[in-house]
Amino acid sequence: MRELAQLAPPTTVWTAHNGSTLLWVEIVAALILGILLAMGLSRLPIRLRKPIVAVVTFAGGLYFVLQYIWPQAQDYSKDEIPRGTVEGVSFWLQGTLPTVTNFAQVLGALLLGLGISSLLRIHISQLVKKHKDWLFSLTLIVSMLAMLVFGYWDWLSKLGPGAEQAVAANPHIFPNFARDFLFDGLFINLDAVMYSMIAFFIFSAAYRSFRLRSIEATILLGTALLVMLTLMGGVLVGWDRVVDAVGGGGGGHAGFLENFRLGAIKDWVQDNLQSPSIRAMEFGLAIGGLAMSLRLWLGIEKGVSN
Amino acid sequence: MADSTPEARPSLGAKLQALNRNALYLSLFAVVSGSLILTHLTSLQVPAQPQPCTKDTYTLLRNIPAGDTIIIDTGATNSTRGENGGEMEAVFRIAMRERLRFVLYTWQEPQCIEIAKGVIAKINLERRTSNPPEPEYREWDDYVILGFFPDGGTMLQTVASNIRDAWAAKKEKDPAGRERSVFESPVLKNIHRVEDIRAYVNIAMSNLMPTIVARVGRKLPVISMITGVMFPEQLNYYKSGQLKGLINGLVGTVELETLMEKGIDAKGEVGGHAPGPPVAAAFPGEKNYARGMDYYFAFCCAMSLLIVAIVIGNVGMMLERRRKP
Amino acid sequence: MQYYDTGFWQIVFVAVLIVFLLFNIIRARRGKSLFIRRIAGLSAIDEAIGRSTEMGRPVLMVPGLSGLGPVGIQAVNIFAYIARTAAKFGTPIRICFADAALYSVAQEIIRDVYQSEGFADRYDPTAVRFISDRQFAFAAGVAGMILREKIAAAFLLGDWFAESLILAESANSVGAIQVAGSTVTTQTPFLIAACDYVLIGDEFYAASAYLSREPVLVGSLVGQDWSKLLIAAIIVVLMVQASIEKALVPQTTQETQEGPGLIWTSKPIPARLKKRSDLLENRLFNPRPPAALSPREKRKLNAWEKDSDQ
Repeated sequence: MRELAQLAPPTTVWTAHNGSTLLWVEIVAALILGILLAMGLSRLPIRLRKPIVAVVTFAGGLYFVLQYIWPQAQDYSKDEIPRGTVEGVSFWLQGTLPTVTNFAQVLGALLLGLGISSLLRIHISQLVKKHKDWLFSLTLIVSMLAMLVFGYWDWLSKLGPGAEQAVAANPHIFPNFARDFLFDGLFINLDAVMYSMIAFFIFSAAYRSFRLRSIEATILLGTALLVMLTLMGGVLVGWDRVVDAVGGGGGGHAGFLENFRLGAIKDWVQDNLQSPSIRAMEFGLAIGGLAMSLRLWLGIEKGVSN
Repeated sequence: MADSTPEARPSLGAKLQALNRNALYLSLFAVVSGSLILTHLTSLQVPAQPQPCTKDTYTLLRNIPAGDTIIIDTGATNSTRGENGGEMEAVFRIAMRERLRFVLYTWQEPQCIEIAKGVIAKINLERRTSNPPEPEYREWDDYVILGFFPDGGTMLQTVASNIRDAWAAKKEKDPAGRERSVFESPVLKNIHRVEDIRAYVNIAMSNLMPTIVARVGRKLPVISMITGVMFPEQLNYYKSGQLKGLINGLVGTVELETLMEKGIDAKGEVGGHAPGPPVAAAFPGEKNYARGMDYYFAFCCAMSLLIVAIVIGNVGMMLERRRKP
Repeated sequence: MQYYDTGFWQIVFVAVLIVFLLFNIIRARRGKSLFIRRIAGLSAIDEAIGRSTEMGRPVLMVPGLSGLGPVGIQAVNIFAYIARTAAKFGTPIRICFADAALYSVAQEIIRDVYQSEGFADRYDPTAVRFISDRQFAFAAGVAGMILREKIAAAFLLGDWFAESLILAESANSVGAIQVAGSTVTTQTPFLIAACDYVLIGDEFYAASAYLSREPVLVGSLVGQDWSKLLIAAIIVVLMVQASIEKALVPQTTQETQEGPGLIWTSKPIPARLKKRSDLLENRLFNPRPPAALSPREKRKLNAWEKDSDQ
């Protein structure tokens, strides 16, 4: 009997297999339950909504807090039975985590649909009413629809045994060619172009702002120049050769002048000024995030607009 | 009659402070394009001084025994190919030459996997056409691709507690074309816990270290290959010992390629000749200088142009200040 | 069964921070007056909106790539304040999102702001819009909007990454006044170079307390300051302790994982100066992983567990 007790538990609500009847029943039941819940919540008096939202927020937050602070069992196999409450909760937390993250992903996908519907609403309206710059709205709608159609068509054409190899062997089939042209040819390269534009913007921003206007600006300029010089290997090596020549020896034997190697100055600035400052800012940001999260979790966050 | 009194015309100082934006952009474009062409025509090599964080990365990777498995979490996209692209090429070259097996996935962008596949194919071609030819790296036998994970943080948490559970649903085609669990492949066959993985290499353009270090940082050595802009923030993780290696964008890639070319001798010198087994040897006679060195001269020229522009702006400001008492 | 040592002191430390936050929130609710210093970027909000109203051009608010989390909610809170002021003056607003979840929350909040101010007719539903969840598609869309609509004021507050400079320079090119703040510290230098006012570090989180003076928010802010003081005090104490320990306390034992079972054992060694890994605070913040079990050890342990169950 002990051996039987060690066997895996029977299939549960959380472990229904793909395509099984149990899973379909669960999906339909969840849909009906969801609709009933939405209808019920919308009929609730307003004074009850805030406590319900607070309770649901707290329960959701509590799950993830426990994920971090509850002792996590290691190296257990699927057919092990937990001993005691601590282990039981640990097994439950780890077992349900993939399911909970799936919930979050499904929710994210649905909300993306909401965003897309907003986008289409705005741009179709601008197009129909021929507002100023309606051409850009037309471009957006056409690109979105093209990517949707050809992306889906391409995915469909690669389903089934041997389909992917057939497509790879003949890449000029229209939907696959169109999808590759739109995604690999246009989208990815436009992405790279936008990123590359940053170089030009940095150039104009640095030219405009690195001026000796004040003490702080001078310090900013000095450290910026130092960092830029140390990024150039040729400058580093050349500077080191000068230090070696003046100090009378290579390979780290220039005595006191070792402190004037560009790399040494950069390391000092990095270790004593830059890193501590970033650490201090990160501490502040982390604590600010903790405070904000705590207020949201406990439902005591007061919006500025209240 | 047109007013051409000196007061109506902007002074030299004013002109130097307000250079036309388009002229600045054009000069940058010309300098970078010209230097890239020059590098391509002359195979120019600019010296680099590897930093301690780059040396640690190289030492860690070179001292992993052949046949062991590492994780490569790639975030290199087409946009960041100037920095992450070179880092990814360097780490794949080192892994393949060391006969390390690797698990490849991403939780940043789906296109990262396609880009990684392209780099692997390119390096395989190099290995095939080298003299003498080296064996190509094959999917299933030498590496597995787990694909894109939308919620990487949660996936890493599951990996940290039970790696076999985290990737239980992942399948790959074996050489016979059958879809099998990735844990049946030689890459993950002997991996039962995350501690059995020898290193976690993260190639990224944004700061994922708080997530990665918190979840797996204590269980296996983490190496971060980041873009230059994120380096100061990541340096804190390296200084505190949470990261065991760090590569600083394009400059770090050039340093890594320099180490691949020159190695670290027994005394810790780069390219030195101290007797005894090296801390991390070079790859003599192989292609070491690649994408990093290809872009480095252009990068240095762009930096120089930036410094010149800043100096011009400040000279203009000083001239203007002197003109107006 | 093995359990991973997550570090007892880390949980205690976070619990102390939470106590500080809650204690000060209670203090503030009881009417205690708490001081917040002036933050230049936030004081410039009214100036920026006034400028936009005079020029008849819109105010742009962008939370960067923030998702539905503390950063995104904080950004929307600040935007709600700005929208309240803009509603009173009749200034057109544009709020652009890269996250659909945050967009749907913000849409409701901004609509409520207009309604509560009594200017529901001034609310333009197209003012709050989702652009794209792809970083550079988002940047391109917002940059295009900036250049076409010639915005007069830009508030770039939230999780900013590489696209920060694209938008900041685009806004600069149309002469907009800019207030920016990023929770990503490495973007702060770019924003400082391109924008008029920058909220550095956790000034971003202080913004809601600064603007509303709501007791819960002000109390929480003071609690954050107490936490930072505690961290500073711990750093100083541990720095002194580590210096003394390293210089004066020799290391006479060494812990290693030994034997087929790789169990942690402590054995005596000749006295030597301590390395960083031997110091107390290193062991406090870097707990040892559990001892690895060999397959034979595991079989023995499983057999023992089975026997003890029977």
